[in-house]
Amino acid sequence: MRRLSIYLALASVAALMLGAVVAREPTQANASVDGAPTTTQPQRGQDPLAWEAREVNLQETGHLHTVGEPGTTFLERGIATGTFDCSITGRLTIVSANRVIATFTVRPKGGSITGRGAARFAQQGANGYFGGTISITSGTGSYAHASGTNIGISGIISRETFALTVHVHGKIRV
Amino acid sequence: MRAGVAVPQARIRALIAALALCVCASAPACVKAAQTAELEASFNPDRLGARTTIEFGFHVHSTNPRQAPSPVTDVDLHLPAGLGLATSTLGLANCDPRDLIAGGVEGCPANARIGFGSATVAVPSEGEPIEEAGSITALVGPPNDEHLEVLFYVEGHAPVSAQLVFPGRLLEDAPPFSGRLDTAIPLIPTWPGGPDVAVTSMTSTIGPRGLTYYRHTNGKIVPFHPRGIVVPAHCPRRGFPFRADIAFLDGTHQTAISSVPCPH
Repeated sequence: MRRLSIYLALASVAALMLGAVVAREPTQANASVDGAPTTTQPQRGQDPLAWEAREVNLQETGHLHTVGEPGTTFLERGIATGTFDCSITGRLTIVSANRVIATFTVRPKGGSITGRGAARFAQQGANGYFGGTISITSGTGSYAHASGTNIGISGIISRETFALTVHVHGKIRV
Repeated sequence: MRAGVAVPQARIRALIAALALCVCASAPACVKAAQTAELEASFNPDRLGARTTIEFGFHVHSTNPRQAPSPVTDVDLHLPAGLGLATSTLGLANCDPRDLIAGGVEGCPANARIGFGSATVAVPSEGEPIEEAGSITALVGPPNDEHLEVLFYVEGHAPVSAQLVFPGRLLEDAPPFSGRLDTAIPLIPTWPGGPDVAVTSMTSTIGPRGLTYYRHTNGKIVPFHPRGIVVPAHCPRRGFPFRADIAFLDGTHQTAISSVPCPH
């Protein structure tokens, strides 16, 4: 009888430990995801641990073309490939001889992520080159809680056609 | 009452006056200018949101009409916020100053040209200074760090034949300006050991007016007109401000301001 009690106690402890591991599993799985994020997102009201943000290594290259007549601001639209294969829109505002304000929005399945920041700009012949950092300013849908700072952007804009190639790279939390 | 050595007020005033004299003796700003400067600027066409050609020019006058003004050594032209070459297709190629000096304007790609103008120089002489006019072509120079380099190629024909390059750099500026074109004016000696020629006026455009560019399309060279700089859609209350800070060889500086009024 006494031996049975010991077995039961050990079984209880083991069950508790197993339960703790199972409860942590989603967190561990989401803790450091490199590459494309899963499309199934935890719902609000579920286990709070499941809501812990995932870190995504963002590596996106966008090829955009100008929309409308460019003025001080270039509105651009195109396709991005990389972490998210999706549409991308951009807005490049020239604020001074060597400085631009860049805003980019990527629209992966299930929502959108918008980042804004400043970049240096240099004109060399038929191309303009820019480089700087952006921060995530907003998100929608599955990416409503997206955040991130110090995300690198760099790119080339054709001064003849205003076609834009942009590289966005850094870690974001979604 | 603070403890310390009491210094008579008269001694403090005398010290300040002496210091001010010392500063004035060494600072160029305290030197009485022997010349005045004017700046003019306009847009062509002059419409908000339109692509335009900027026309600008400065004129220097000696306060003594029988004497040429001191040679200009630097012109820092401040451009209004919102006006940027990047909004245009001007300067799609770069011009190497060595090619410019060796072969003239023809030695550089046509797509490097961004404007035209003229310059007048005063050649010191025994009587009143002799004036000489020359033509200017503005071109985009080679990349210089991240700053755009603008080369003003000046050709004088009579009485003296001369070709000169005034190198300028487009630099960052503070509001209400977006950038400043800082152009060095090299000294132009009249003869070895003689006085320097003084630039008394310089006008130039930066824009597509009168320019033809070329592109390769399907194996053919196709001419086209570059797009101009976009005039911002909103006009500042007092118009689009321009300012020129001009430095002279005699150590004096003059600032000239101008603005392009808001179009109606």
